[in-house]
Amino acid sequence: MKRKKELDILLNGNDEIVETLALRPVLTKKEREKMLEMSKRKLADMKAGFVISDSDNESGDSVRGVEHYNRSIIMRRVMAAAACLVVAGGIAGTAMLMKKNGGSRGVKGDSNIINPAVATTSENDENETNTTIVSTSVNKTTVTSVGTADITGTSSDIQTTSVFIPSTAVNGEVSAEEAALSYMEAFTADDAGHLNIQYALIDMNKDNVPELFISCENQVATENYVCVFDGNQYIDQSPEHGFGGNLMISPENGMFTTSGKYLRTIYAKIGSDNKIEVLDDLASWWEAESESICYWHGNEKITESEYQNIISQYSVYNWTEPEYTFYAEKDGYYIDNAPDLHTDINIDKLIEMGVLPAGDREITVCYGFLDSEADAASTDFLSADSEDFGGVVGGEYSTSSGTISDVYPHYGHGRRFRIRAEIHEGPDNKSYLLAAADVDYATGECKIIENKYPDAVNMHF
Amino acid sequence: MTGIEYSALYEKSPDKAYKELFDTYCNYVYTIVYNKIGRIASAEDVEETVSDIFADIFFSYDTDSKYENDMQGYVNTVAKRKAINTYHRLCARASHYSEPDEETFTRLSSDTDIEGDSDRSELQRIILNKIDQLGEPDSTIVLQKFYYDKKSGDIAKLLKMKAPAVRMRCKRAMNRLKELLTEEGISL
Repeated sequence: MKRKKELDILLNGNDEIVETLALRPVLTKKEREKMLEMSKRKLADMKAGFVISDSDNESGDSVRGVEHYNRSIIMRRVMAAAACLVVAGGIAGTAMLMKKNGGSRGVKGDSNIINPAVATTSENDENETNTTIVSTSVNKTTVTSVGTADITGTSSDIQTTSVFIPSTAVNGEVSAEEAALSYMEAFTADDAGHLNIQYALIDMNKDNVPELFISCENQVATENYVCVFDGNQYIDQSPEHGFGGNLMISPENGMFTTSGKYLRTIYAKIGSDNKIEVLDDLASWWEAESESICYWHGNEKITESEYQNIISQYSVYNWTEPEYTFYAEKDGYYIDNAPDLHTDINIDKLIEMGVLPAGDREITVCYGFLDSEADAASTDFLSADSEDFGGVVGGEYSTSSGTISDVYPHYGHGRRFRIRAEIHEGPDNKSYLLAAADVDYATGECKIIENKYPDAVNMHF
Repeated sequence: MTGIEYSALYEKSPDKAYKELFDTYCNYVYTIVYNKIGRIASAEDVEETVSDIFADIFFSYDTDSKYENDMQGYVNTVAKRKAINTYHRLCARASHYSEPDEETFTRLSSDTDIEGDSDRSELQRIILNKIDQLGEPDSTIVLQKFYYDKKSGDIAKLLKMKAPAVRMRCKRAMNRLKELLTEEGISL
């Protein structure tokens, strides 16, 4: 259930209320475009018989896409630590590989051009549609015939057959390689603040059309995106912010896994239908109620041995990191001229002041990002309502640590940040906002702009 | 857009017909969906439902029909039905964790409470009227922030303003709205 909003009273209004609301600007261009694209995809699936229209089936259940899950604020913060290690490893590993391979730019200039899959749909006299999907590769062409449900929706049997014919038989207009580079161009130009963008083309489902794997940073964590080629373009099949953490692949089995400290461990498979199927979704983390590490399979709590048992089933596979090629860093350069930002926190004092509850437990220092364009004099940066643009994790401590000195992990990338130091604890993401600073990593200009507890907290450079 | 106009456009180019249909009714459909499921659904669920609705309309609408009237009624029916389906699906999913709160159930069952619905509609009408009195862009800012649950940055993009300006106007506009409603004996 979402947080109650002041104007929730307007929900569930009659047609007149809805029409009045609809007369105002509601959606940004980007949101409209996103939904238009989503609906086109769904329509294409309906036509191909992969998704059942509500007209055909009252349940309206859709079978496309992957199960989404929402990361909590503290998870977003905390997983950055793991993400940084992964990215650092990725960069180092890729750099080594690039050096070893003579600085090859991966697929760019690769002569093994793979032609696109082409789908055609026809309708016969009995009101049945038939879809033929033709995909070509370096060595062969796959033709898949999909006889779908009749339009009136009385049947939903899908017959699939595959044959292989020489690749010269079909010559598409867009190759997967070209489509991948187009996708990467758009992905990089997107104003999502992606950094260290890398990609890899790997045929996971053995349909001779490679899937596009993208790895990048977002100032908070590593994001991994998995895209499939629909014949003309690559389509992202990942959750909204991608798969977090470290992504490993097992191409022999068409599987990939993502995991990381404080992240769920996902095992997924890309099927021959180009859909991602989550095979297992596991979690293990501290639960305050039981004061122990607990384990989940999906939403169901399981025992540690059950958890390990599932993990061990996958350990027999050969997991490797995709061989990524760097595409571009969004702004093309890094300049970090700012000094380190320190936050000295007297935990005892915060407890004495009644800010932090007493009791021995683990706490985490986190750094939230605020709108760096906001006027420093006009906004309260240490209120829970102030805008939050993500953040990174600092150190983990015990409440018995006395005075701690945490250093903001230095990820400036030449940009200007407004950073808020916070203490997070517990599964409810209880947070205590301490102090805020402006740091310009390009010019090195820094300023402490607010300190809520000057007697207990000292933020300095 | 009338049914005949849509069919004619479809005849020439299904792609253009789709785009036109979407552009014409996107705000309307989004508003219907959000109004039905906004309290319990994530932004992604709402977007997913809206895109489902358009795909459904395009897939199912009989372009041979000579429907002369505006398609809004048809769009409204499909959108409401789909939104309610999504509502039930989300409630079923949420029931694995917790039961929907009492207020949600009250609203869901309010179809049969004619007197209650009438009071509620009147209250909604007054509130919208008072929001209108704030003038633009404040009325849009208030609705985007306190009804659609949008971030100041997104509202700023929608209204082509700076995020800090949105935040400042938002705070002042909400205070003003509360004053206006208090004069009517309504508290949020």
